[in-house]
Amino acid sequence: MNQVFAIAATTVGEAIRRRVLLIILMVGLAFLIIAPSLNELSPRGQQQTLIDISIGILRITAAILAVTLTVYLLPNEVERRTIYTILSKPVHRYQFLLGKYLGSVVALSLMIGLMTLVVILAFGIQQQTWSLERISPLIKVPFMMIFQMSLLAAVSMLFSTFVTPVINFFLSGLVWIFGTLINPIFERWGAQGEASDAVTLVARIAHYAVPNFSNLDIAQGAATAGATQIRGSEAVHMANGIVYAVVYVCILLVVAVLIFDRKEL
Amino acid sequence: MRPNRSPLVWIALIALFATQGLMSQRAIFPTWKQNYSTGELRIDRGLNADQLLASLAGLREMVAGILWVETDHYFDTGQFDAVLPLIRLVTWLNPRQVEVYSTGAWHIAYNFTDEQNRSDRRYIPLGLRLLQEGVQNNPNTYEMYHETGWMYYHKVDDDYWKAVHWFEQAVEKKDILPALKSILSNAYQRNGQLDESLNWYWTLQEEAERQYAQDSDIMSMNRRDTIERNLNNQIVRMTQRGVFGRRAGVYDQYPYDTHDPVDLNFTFSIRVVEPKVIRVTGTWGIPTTGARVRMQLFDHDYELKWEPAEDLNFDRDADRTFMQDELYTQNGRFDRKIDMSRNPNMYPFTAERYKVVFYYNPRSAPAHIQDKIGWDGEGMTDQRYLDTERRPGTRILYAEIELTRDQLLMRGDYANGYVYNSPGFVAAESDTGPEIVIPRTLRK
Repeated sequence: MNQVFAIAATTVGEAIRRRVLLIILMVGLAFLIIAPSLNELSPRGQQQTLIDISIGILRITAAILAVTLTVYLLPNEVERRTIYTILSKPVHRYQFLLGKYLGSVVALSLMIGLMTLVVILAFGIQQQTWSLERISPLIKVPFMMIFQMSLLAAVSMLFSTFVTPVINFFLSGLVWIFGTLINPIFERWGAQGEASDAVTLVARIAHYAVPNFSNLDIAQGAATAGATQIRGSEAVHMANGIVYAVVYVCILLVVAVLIFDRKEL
Repeated sequence: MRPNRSPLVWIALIALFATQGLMSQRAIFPTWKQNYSTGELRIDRGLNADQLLASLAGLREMVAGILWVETDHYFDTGQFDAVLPLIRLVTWLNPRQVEVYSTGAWHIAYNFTDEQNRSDRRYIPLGLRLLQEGVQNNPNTYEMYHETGWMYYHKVDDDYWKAVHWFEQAVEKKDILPALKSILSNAYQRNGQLDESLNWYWTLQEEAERQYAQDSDIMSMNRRDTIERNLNNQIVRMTQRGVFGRRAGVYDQYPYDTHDPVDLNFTFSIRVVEPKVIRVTGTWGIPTTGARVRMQLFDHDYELKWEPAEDLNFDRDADRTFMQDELYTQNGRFDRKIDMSRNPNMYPFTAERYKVVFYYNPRSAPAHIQDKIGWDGEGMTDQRYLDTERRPGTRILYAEIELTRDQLLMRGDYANGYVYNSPGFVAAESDTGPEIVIPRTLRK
C-alpha cells in the first residue's frame, strides 16, 4: 500500500502545484456577486435561493474539477514518459492507477471542503446567522457531493485508460448528465409501468447499470425546511448512497485496472 | 505485461455489479422517490437552452433559484402575466420550495384584478391547485396545509368546512408556528362548529400554560394572554348569543342579544349607466359599519367551482364572465359603481343572460354584527330574501335576478340604459343621511 499512498501524495501535490485551488476564490467571488442581487426576495426566499444557488455553484465547480483533475492523470504520465520510470520500479499497474485515483479524490475532497468553507463563511456573514439548522444544508449536501464527485472521477479514470482527454471530457460529461437524470427517468418510465414493455426494460437496465449520481444528491429541498421535509431517515439514505458510491467506484476501478493491464504503453 | 486475471476477479466484479444495482433499485430509489423526487421530469418545457443544459447537469435547484429571482423582478414591475409560467417552471424544477407555492398561489388568487381591484375569481381554482400540488410535494410541513386552509377561509370565504379540513391537518404538523394555530378556532366558528371552536381554544390555552411554565419569557406570556382573551371572548359570545341558553331550553326566558330578529328588509337597485358599467344601490337593516354584502354577476349557466382544477395550466375560463364585489354598507345603505368596461379579458360578456346574486352569510360577518344576528342568522330575518335552504342550518340573505346582455351593454331597446328596482326599493333622497357619529369625547 505504501506505493499507492506515495503515488496518491504525489498526485495531490501536483494538483496543488497546478493552482487549481484558485478556483475556490472564484466560488467566493461568485457568491459575493450573487448575494446582493437577491435582496429583492423575502428574507426566507433570499436564504433559500442563496443556498440553492451556492450548492449549484459548488456542484458545477466540483464536477468540472473532478473531470479535469482525472482526464489528464494517465495521458500526462504517458506523454511525459514518467510512467515508464514509475512502472520500472516495484510498482504494479493497479497500484499506479489506484494511487492516481486516490490522489485525485483527496485533492477533490480538499477543494470541495475549502469551497464549502468559503460558502459557509460568506453565507454566515451575509445572512448574519450561524445557526446550525440553517447552515446544515451547506454541510450535508457538499459532504455527499464528495462521494458523487469521487464516482465521477472514477468514471473519468476508467475512460482515461482507453480514450483521449478531449473525448474523455465529453464522455464523462454525458455520463454525468445521464447519471443525474437516471432516477427521474426510471421513475417515469421504469417504475410506474406507464411506458411500453420495451421502454420499461431499457429504463430498468439503464437504471441498473449507469452510475447513478442522483442517488447521492440530497440538494432537493435541502434549502427549504430541512429535516421537516424528510420522511424516513435521511442518515440511512445518505449511508446507503455512500455504500453505493464506494461499490460502484470499486467496479469502475477494477474495470479500469483490467483495461490498463492490457494496454500497450 | 499482459497478466491473466483469476476468474475470481470476474466473479467479484459481477457480485459488485449486482450489489450496486440491487442497492440502487431496492434500497435507495424508494427513499429518493419519497424525499428527493421532483415528481416528473418536465424540465424541457419553457426553459431556454442554457437553463435546460444547467438543469440536465444536475443544477435544477440552482436554475429554480435564478428563475425565482427573475419571477420576483417581474412581479415587482407589474408584469403579472410573465410570472405565471415562471412559477410553474420553478415548482417543476424545485418542488420543495414551499415559498414559491405559497407566494405563487397568493399571486394567482389575489393579484389578477380589474381596474377597481376586484380579483379575477376564475383564477382561484388554479391557486388552490398550485397549493394542493405543494401539499403533495411537501406533506411534512404545515405551511402548504395552512395556506390552502387560508385560501378557503379568506379568499373563497364561504365553504368553511374545507378551511377546517386543511387547518386541522396544518395544526398536526410539528413545525407549525404556535401563533398560527388559533385560526382553526375561527374556522370552526365560521363552519358552525362552536363546541369544537371552544375546545380548540381550551387545548391551546393548556398548551400555552405549559409553555409559559417552562419558559416564562414575554413571548410565552403574550401568547398565553392572547389565547385566554380569545377563549373568554368565545365563552362570552356563546353565552350572550344564546347558544348555551338554547341548549338548556331557556332561550326564550332571557333577553339574549339575538332575540327579536332584526328585519333586514333588503332592497336593491341596479342601474346600467354605461355599457358594462352598473351602479348598485340598496338598503338593509344593519346600520353599523363593517358589513359587506356580496354581489356576483355571472353568465346565467356558469357555475364557478372552487374545487382545484385537475391540472395546473393557468387557463381560466376565458370566455366566461364572473364578477364578484363586496358592497360596503354604511348607515344601512350601499352605493357602488361597478365598471366592467375596461377589462374585456375579465368580463368578456359573451353570454346572452346573466345572473346577479346578492348574498350575505352571517357566518362571515364580523363579531359586532354577529352579536346581533348570531352565527347562524337566528337574529335576522327578511320578508323577501331570507334563505334557509342553500346553507343548511344557516339563515342567509339571498337575492337573485337575471339581466340580459342587451341590458348590460345598452343595446337595442336598452340604448338609453336600464334600471332594475327590487320590490320595496325606495331611492334615497340624498347620499348623506342620518349618520351614527362617535362623540368626540369617546375618540382618542
